[in-house]
Amino acid sequence: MTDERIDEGHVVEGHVVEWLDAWRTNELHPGRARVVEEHLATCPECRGALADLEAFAATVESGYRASETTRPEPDWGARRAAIVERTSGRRASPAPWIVRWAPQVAIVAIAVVAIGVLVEKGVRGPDDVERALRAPSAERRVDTEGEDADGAGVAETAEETEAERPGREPAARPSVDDAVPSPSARAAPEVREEDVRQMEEARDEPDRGADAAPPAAPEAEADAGRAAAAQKATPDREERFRRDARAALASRDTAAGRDALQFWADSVEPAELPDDRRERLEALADSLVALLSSAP
Amino acid sequence: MNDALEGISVEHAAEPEEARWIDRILAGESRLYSRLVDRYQRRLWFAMTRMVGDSDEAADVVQEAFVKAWEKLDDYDPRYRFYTWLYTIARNRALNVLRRQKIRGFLSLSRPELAPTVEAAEDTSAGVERGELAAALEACREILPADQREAFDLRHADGMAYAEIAVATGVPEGTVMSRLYRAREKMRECLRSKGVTRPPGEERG
Repeated sequence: MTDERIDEGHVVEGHVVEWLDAWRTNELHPGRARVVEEHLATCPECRGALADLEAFAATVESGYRASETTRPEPDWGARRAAIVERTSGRRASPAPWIVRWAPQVAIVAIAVVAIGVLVEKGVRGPDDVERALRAPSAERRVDTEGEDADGAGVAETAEETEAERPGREPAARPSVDDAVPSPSARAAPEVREEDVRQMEEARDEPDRGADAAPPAAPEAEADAGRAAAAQKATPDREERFRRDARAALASRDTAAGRDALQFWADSVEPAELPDDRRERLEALADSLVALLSSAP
Repeated sequence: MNDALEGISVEHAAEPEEARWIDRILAGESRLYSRLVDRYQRRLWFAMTRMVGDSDEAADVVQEAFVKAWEKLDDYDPRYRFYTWLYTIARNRALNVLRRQKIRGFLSLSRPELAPTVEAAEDTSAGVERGELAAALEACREILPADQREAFDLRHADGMAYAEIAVATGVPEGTVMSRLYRAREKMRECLRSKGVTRPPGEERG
């Protein structure tokens, strides 16, 4: 009895054959397990295949054990000690929300304020943007009448914004959409309040450790220093590889491609890079390999 | 991590003892991490050696994987076994090693150590058989596509369940089943051709 006969005889239920191994180790969902059991009850070929599977698995696993016993093993004590040395310090607690997201929050806040400023200046299109940006001091003088440093200007702007909010008389500024409150007045305070709430939550979040985190241990600082040094050194090597690889690919210069690839193998440590940078560099390396492979 | 556990009913969550260790490690008892190292260091090394071929490179991968797992322990999901999660970390590093090996090989640099050397056959017939079987197994594994070979290794060498293999390799369980089925068919035929297994129907004792 060949495997082909089994497959031919159970084409419609061919997937049962695929399920046999999972069934024999009780890993199938009850519904599929029932299908297999019902099929096995009526199919001597599949019962035979199941028995063959058991024997095959036992033979293969015996082979793996044999190859493992003949393989020279590392000094496990030394390897363990190296791992323990690097994992014995206090683990860094996850950064509070506001610290982790501070850059993004700052960008959003700046963008919102910028939008608010442009709206205040009656910006409706690219020309308005250009005009607003071209003479900022002049704009400010026009916008902040009776200027007395920033206080008066701000107050005036705030009062105008207040007037533009829904339910109030629209401001005299014809370029402002009266139905829409000034985003700078609405969004910016919300962002600030949200920031304050997050900061309060982060402050009140219990520390993971039993006590407040102590200053970083010297080993951790040394590791951080090494990591920082690696990060500083890597961008130069990355940039060089990126430049050389692109030049070689653009000119289909196999000699330059080989040099770039050699530099990659010798100098660039992709495992330490963030995923996005690593993937881009690895894609370049793959392209270089393809270039060199296609060369006559 | 892959949540596609269709058709698979067995739970593969963290073992209770390990879950307690990890909770205590996260609470500050870092010394307990060495228990996880003791439990899985060797097993992971075998798996990585099968992936990258070179024993020393595999040992480095394992070491770095444990350190990385320590650093990312907050991300560990106890719905899955710790070893499965650790394997995914090690696997990513091993893939980097393989890429580097490929490039070095392409550049005609020193080639990495490949399949493990099988010791000289023992005097007993059983020892000779074990040596032949191990050698045949290693040779036949090389004919498998990488994804099938990995699934086959994880199943039969590492003893992973289907759901765990799905998580470890980032594919649905149905894909694992399909890969394993095709891998077993190829391996069965190859081992049979080398005389270390008997045809179906005769493999049973």
